[in-house]
Amino acid sequence: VVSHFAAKEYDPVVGNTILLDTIATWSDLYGAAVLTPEMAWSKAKFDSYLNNLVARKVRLARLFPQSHNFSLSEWCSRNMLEALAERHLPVVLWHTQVTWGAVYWLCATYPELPVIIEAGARKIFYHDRDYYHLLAELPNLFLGLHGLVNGCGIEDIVGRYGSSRLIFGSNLPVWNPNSAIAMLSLARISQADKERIAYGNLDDLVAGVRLP
Amino acid sequence: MIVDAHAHLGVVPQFYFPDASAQGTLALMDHLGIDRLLQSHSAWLLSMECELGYNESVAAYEESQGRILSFAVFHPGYPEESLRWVERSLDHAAFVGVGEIHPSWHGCPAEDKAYEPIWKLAAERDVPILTHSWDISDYNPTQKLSFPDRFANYAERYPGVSLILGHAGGRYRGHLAAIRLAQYCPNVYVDLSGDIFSPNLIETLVREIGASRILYGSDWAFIDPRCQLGCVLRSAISTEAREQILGGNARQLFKL
Repeated sequence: VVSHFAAKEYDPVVGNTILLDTIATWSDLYGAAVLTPEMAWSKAKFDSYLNNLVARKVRLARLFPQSHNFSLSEWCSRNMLEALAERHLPVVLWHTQVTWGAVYWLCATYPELPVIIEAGARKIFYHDRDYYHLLAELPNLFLGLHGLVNGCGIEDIVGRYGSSRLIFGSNLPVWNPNSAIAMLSLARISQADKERIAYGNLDDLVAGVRLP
Repeated sequence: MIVDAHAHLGVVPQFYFPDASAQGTLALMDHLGIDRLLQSHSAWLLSMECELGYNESVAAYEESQGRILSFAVFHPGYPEESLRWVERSLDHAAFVGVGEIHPSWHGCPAEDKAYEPIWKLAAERDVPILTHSWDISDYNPTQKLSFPDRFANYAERYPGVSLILGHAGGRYRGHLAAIRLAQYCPNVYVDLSGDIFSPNLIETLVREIGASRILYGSDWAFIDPRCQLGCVLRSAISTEAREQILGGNARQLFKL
């Protein structure tokens, strides 16, 4: 599942358009579109936009509240979040883009919305005291794997919360994917747990995406 | 033989560690086929708890039957006390070098005269110095104190002391600076520890400075040793270069 850099660094609409064209020609690629609140000022237009994205192989939504200067709060993002929740379209957020309080609010307010927190290019494990408690409380919270690079972090999370809360990702091409691959393949967990993390959990989330 | 040349036992208070004990470390070493691990104890390095760090380092050496070896930490802010502990440590078989010098954490730039005594001692005792090295950071202003260029003066004045730039300069500009310094000073090495996962980093380092001056390291227990192990094992380099990086160079450098 890929995003286009231009969607974060230039213009989400332009980046998403390039993304759709790119994934259309590669059967193994799916899309993660970048969204911003103004896209949902008109519910009808946003519904149409989202339906088009999903129809053209987009399976995740990425939000960058800090980089794109918006609040996840209801007064700013309600229309967008409601539409995503309605479709069960998983939302991916970098931990550097939101507070853990906002993550709690998002997951608790929209329990049908899968929320995947990943590291971007900054280590996430400095915040493990926060996300351990959130994993315990919020069944719709997931963690992306590539930033969970602390010693035995994967084994510890699987031991406490099971393997269903981790989603494999590599951060390619910013990071060498062999790091995440080795973390998972050499983890001291069962083969079934490895397969859930490698693809099973994401398969389940993607299969849950629906059009209203 | 696989040698993890940059690791830590012990914890820091800022976050939770699943397991940073000597027992847990040994179990993971066995699982991954790591024969030796070289560590700077976190209590000593980051909290200046010299006695605790020394005692736990020695205990780990004994418990592991010599598989867990240690660096003796020098803190430039407490030069006399710190130097006493380093001298005492280097008399013990558990200790194979000085480090991790940490200009960023200790708030003292790498070129500062406060480091002169430890370079002198390392030369006298013929032991390598391991240091933290990093790029200039947008969000961590002290990282600039460990930029590779800053080590040039000491590295040049002490050609007999092997200096290992931990994390190979940390990020992009730091990697380039580490390469420049290693090309200029034949006594400068780099290690691969930390979250330095740029694609083709290992291939670039091998091409620019040669495999003989690159050491596998993890930054355990902060960073899982599997991360960089995977990068080394799957890198596009020769089998000979891979063996040098994974352990051959460390065996030679630390006389293991």
